[in-house]
Amino acid sequence: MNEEQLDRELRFHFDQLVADYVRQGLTETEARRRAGQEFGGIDQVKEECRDARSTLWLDSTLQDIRFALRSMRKNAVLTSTVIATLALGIGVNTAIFSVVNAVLLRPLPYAQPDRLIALFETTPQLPRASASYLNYLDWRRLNNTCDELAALRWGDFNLTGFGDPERLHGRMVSASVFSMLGVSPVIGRTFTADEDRPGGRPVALISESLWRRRFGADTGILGRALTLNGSAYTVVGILPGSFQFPFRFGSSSEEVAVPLGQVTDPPMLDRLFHPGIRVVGRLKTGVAIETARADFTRVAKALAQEYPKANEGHGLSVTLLKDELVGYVRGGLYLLMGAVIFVLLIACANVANLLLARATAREQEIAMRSALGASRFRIVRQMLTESLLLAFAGGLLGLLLASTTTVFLVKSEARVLPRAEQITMDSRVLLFTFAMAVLTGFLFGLAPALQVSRSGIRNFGRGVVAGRRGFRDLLVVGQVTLALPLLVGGALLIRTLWNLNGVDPGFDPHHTLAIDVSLSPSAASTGPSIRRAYDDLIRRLENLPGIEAAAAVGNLPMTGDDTAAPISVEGRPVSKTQYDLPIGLLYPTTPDYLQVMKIPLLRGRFINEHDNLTSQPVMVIDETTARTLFPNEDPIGKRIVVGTGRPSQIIGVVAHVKHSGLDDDVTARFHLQLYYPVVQLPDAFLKFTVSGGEMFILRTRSNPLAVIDAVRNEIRSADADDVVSSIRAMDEIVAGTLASRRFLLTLLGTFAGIALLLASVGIYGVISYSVSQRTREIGIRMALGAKPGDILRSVVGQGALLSMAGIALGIIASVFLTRFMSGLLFGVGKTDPLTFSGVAIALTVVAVAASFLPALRGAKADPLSALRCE
Amino acid sequence: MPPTKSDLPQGTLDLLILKVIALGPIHGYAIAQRIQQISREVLQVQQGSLYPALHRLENKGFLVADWKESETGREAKYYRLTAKGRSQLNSETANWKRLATAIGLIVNFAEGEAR
Repeated sequence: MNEEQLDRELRFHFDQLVADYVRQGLTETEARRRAGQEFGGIDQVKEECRDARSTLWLDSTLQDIRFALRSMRKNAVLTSTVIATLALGIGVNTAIFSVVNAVLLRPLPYAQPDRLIALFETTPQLPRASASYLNYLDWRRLNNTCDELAALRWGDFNLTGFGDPERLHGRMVSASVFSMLGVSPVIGRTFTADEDRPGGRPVALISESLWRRRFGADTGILGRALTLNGSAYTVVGILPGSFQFPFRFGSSSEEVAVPLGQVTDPPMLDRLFHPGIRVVGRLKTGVAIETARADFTRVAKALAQEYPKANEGHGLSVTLLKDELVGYVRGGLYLLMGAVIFVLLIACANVANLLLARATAREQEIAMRSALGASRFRIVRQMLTESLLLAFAGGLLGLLLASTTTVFLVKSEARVLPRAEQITMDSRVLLFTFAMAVLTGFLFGLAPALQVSRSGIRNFGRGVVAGRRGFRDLLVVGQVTLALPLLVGGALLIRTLWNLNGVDPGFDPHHTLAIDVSLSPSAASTGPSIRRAYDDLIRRLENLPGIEAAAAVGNLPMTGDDTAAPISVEGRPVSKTQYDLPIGLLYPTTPDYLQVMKIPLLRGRFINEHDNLTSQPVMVIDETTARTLFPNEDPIGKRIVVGTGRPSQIIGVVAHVKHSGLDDDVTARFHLQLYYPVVQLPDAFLKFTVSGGEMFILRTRSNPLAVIDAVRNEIRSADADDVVSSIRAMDEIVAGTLASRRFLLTLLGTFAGIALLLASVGIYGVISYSVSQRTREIGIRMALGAKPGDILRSVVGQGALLSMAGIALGIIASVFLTRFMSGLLFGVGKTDPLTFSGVAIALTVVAVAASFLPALRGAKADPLSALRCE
Repeated sequence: MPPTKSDLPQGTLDLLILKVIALGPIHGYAIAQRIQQISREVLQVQQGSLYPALHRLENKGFLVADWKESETGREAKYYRLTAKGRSQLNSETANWKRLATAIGLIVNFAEGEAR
């Protein structure tokens, strides 16, 4: 656009007007004055002509951006403060969103993920039980709503006969699972239907990682035999490294898979057993999950009729696989997402406050521009351009912050988060960050821009103060309101962890070492060899220096493993099914287990070495079992039947152990606990019991970690093919049960800390500003005899008043918000008055401290110079 | 006394400008004069509205402009209608007539009712 032409055109018009008036008889000066009056602001006309011309906003936008960059450079300190604040706010949002995105939003990495479902049995005692294998086969045959069903069971495999023996995590799976999940092997093939039934050829698939780690990625592995748990399996294919079976347990990745259908241990062939089988199905196209639910309910009814002894009262629970896999972390993640949004809002309030302060300084500039013809829209747009630029810079830095912290998160917390390894900065995360930046840019930019453009135009040349304070005060109140729920949430979690740490687990975890051992295939082959191996190992371990005692047990408390069975009291009537019987947790142990764990004996005696194969079967029960089964009797001497086994005589009662974690009372599936000598088990059951590995527990004289190497060597020298898969201090296992809460607390605590910091900076900023605005007033008051103390009180009082208003609102918000945490808390109410008042007091102290510094500055001011200011 | 500002809806001003320019190449000042004359002094166009409107119409391709010598001998910016501008004028005129007729009907009808 040619400025010179525009100027010439308008000047021509003006001159013509003057000439006309002169023709009408006015003097030259008079005519010029009149024309000038009529013409109005020539610059305004020019500006409007320029606006009329710009078809694309590009020109003026580029101009705005150049201008914004210039003014940002001029205020480097302010600019970097704003960008850093926004980077923090947007960064935490991006980090948490990338987790939410990967864990909750993205579809599962399988074929047709939306059609995959998870199936569980429901029994009268358990809302969700694993499937019994024969029932699974019938579900598969009888249902009309799924194209395919597959069963998966955990299995650990000891790899021997190939270098160092090693325990491999693995799965036993139906042949159908691979096509259903849409996975094809890197090389080789998956299982055939013939291999997935009793008597099928023993074959195995191994993971790409095992293939590279142990076999140097040699394709010659196909067709070779591996010795797994003492039997030979032919490798038929390699599963891709990116593939993982659903229902991952902890962070362990599975490296072996064998066909489930050819496994014939007793629990597989008995409908009464539920040997940890998970079932996944794929809905037929267009079938709704409700339809499938009705269908499987029908199937369950038919099976209950056909097999009443095993299936009476059993139902089938059908959920979407994704809900099943990630549903349990949804609440916690949404909680964190809410928390970071609060942090961002607080950050926005801070930035808005900073920009308002600067806007005051820019008033003259804005007023000048509007006088020179810039429309209000144009000024607002200019200021918004600046805000958006700041927001984008903050967003970019935030993205950087998020990608580094997320890497850290994933590494440290893979254990508590499902799908943690899938967390990446994908396009959706980038889009989210972009949207966040735009949104925050408007959020913190619009209010100052509107206010300034309005006041700037109206009050050209006058200092504008009135009316501004109200808005800034509101921002501070809002910040405190938002910070309070975060602090309350963090404090409630701290109290929860504190309470849990104080819980007596029912045993003494200090100075004990838990060792997960699988006996060598030869030792595990027969009942007598197993008993001999136990004796030998315990004797060897007890003789090591630094070790007080050693014992073994099927499953240790708090490791996430359990074995349970229905129990009954001998001589009491039993109904036709087993399933109105209580279920007990089973601990097959060596004689010293209860003493090694220091589980207190309440009545009777402990198990000892005289309780062996030739003596009568005995059992020690916990106090809960005693109370439940024998409310008004002495349990000692009574006999209990586990499953369909032989009756065992009760010889002692011990304290209850928190088996499923320190918050056992709320989370435990089973409450009755039964201990019996492992050596008294019949051979077949003994073999089954040790097949899943055995836990050895050692009580040490000092630091248990110091003996780890000696223990490992000793076990190896007992039998080179015994496999030690983990050695951990029991203390660490107990602490591990708090991991997910600690994870939440770490994050929520960090966010609450950021919120507190930002809010106190906000209070500081507003009070400083108000002191600088009140310099004159303070000067007058001091000249009239006010003491520095009065000034101090008045200023600090203002800060306290604002924070008090925010605290009051924040408490109301917290009462509403903490209900989303109730499932996470332990031993503390979600509206615990002590926590609420503690946080309120702490926040007040911080607010007073934040207003104290500027107040001090105000009070120290020399009255004379204060009066002279302005 | 400055003349009272005419409250012309934007579309109407565009129509008037196009109509005046359709009579032959003309500069801005003359357009304002001509509108005032033709409307028998009822409509006064402010420069503040006229020039942005001219630039907008030129930008949309309804007008083109050349610098030519004016009647006073000074160079002035003369606007001409383009083919696109002419068809715009036709369609806007038709629109206007339709609207005027409709409003006229309503006004007449209302007066008839009142009687």
